[in-house]
Amino acid sequence: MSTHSNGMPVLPKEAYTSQEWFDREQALIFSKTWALAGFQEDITEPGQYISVQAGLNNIFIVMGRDHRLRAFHNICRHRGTQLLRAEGKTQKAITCPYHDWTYDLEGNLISVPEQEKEFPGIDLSCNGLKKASVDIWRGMLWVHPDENAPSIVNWFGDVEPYLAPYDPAGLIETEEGYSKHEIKANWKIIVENYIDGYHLAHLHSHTLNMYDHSKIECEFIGPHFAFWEPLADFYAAEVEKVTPMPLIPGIPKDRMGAWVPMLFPGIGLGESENSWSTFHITPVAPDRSIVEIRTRVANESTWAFTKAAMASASFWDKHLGTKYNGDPNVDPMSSGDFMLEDIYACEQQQKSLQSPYFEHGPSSKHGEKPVRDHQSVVAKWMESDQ
Amino acid sequence: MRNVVYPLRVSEVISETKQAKTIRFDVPTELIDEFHWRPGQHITIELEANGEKLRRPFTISAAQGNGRSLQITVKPNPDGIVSKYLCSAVKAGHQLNVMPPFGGFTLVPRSDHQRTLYFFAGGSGITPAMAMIEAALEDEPRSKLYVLYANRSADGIIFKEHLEQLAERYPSQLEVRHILSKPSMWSMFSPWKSGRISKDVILEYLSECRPIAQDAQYFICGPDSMNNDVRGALQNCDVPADRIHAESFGGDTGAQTEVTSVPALLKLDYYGEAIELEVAEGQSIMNAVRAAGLEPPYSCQSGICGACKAQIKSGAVHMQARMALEDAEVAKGAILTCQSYATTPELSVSFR
Ligand code: FES
Ligand code: FES
Ligand SMILES: [Fe+2]
Repeated sequence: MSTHSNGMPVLPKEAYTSQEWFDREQALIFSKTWALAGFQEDITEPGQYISVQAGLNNIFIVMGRDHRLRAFHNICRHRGTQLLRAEGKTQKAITCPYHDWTYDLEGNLISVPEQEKEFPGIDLSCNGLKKASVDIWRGMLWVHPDENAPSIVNWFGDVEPYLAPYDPAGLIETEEGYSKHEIKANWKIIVENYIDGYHLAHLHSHTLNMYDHSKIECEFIGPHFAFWEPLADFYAAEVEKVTPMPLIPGIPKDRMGAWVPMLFPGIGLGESENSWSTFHITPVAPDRSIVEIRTRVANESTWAFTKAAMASASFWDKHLGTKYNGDPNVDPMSSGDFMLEDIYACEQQQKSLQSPYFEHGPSSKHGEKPVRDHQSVVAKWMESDQ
Repeated sequence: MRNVVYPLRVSEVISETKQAKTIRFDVPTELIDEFHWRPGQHITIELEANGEKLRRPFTISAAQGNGRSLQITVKPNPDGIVSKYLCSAVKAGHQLNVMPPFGGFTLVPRSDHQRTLYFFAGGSGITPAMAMIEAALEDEPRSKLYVLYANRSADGIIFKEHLEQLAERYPSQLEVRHILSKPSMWSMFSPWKSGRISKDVILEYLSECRPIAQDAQYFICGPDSMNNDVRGALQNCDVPADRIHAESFGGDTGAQTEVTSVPALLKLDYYGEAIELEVAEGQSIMNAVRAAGLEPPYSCQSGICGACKAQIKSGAVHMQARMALEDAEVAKGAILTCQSYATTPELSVSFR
């Protein structure tokens, strides 16, 4: 494998193709970092719970009557059966489906059927559920497998100043903004595509041209990637009039644009002048990942949205288009949808890794620096062997 | 150092309500370190009345820093000689004998954390809360503070304006609600609720004041009856005991249980010095130690302030009251010597 003067590749090809790498990443990265578990509004009532996968750990979050969330490893202390499935609502206790061991919402084991006969002398207090950590940050739910995890503020604090100056918790989720994609590519390829500034003006020449890619400000802050670019001049000039959706309040005029950070590991945000979304990559196999996108917009009336869409329609007809003029049903490059353009690019790269003729090409000095930096971050986490 | 009294000059006396006064002190430069305090701590004031030394703890009602002085806020207690004297006779320029800050009911701000801090204050119980609130607003800016403040009527609310100003200045960090048990019909002030703090009120309060930061801590400082009600109501809402921190303010300390104490041989580790002495039946450890001519630190003598804290190394004691100690401390052997009576004929206790 040839190494270019610019330091590519940082990670070997196997990092994108081998099961062994994948397993080590699950243990060393995804089981040791804060994982996105959903939106704050996913759990609003006492007794309500959701369960999520964080690397090798299945964790459930449940709300107590004090409206505080608790997180536990979703494993019965008897023989390990999963306690809660997906999402739902429980009363004051959690009962294992297998032998009906029952825990309270603090995770204490409170009842064991036929205790006297089958478990004489058992100390229930030694068999409580294993605790995990949960917190809310930027309107999102986060879990960490470790009960004594470093605080979420510690983990994200340094990158916070580089994010949009509004509070996402004040926005409302839209159904149209939800999508889930199964992508035939390693999670790192998707991350690299997300943070690659070089491709924006090319792959998305007709779909993301409302931003000025020549004025990108981006850098890694610890393991997290921060990114901002301003609106393109033609759009900025009359943004109040031609924004296709109501503007999100709180952005100073001279910072109008898009904040597009990639939080580690694999949690992208798209924080723009009129929408806010999470781009959550979950690795499922070395060559397969799931991306789930959820979107929030300004808390305005339906009428405000209709009005903005109508008022701006002709403007955007003029300015947006497709990269190629093929059949949008067959060719993603003719779809006019930047997401499909990206998926196409990622899957093609993954495929080419299989070819015996594949060789890493030169990497661009500025636009692709984040790609190399991200590989270094991953490499660093993979070294830690606890 | 540990049991020293300093004369401090009173710099200012402020009337907070008809009854409550705030007394501010000048701390001379050479005593700044000695009088460094954490929010929630107390100082002890010593007075001489009829040839007898009286010591009483008072909670410091401001956080250190930002130009704030050492201050206590006092309401005259009908049978409290010291508090009555402080509220009626003390003027700016007077000297008072003061012992340095102490006490374990503190809040240490953590700037790199986000927490949800609940304060349930009753009457003059706002004093430690006030110091904690100021400290958390300034030094823990990501945390959210919810204050529920119980009083009889609006004109008895200590720090009413100060709290309003803070809530205006830190709108996303601080939310204050009032509950009045006997609101005056002529008052313009409309509280969040009237009546007592009941289970239902707490349930409603918690569902309206939800934690964003999931590290939630609950501080209760009011009269015993309120503290018990709030603690019970919180536990009824699944709040784990180790997140609840309570301190008693005013009101009697509840029925004292009959002590079955025994005479004992007490082996003391008194700041590194080994001393043996006798404790009589029905005598508190504190009194036995003082009777032997030693000067251990103490202040309230009713189990509230924690000044007389020591560690029990062997043997056992019965504690009549232990408000000043958290369960975890008791588990590790902490005792309040003013409240402790020997229940084994031999015990060893260490003062540090
Ligand atoms: S495995 Fe849960 S009760 Fe047996
Ligand atoms: S002197 Fe205050 S608790 Fe003992
Ligand atoms: Fe892209």
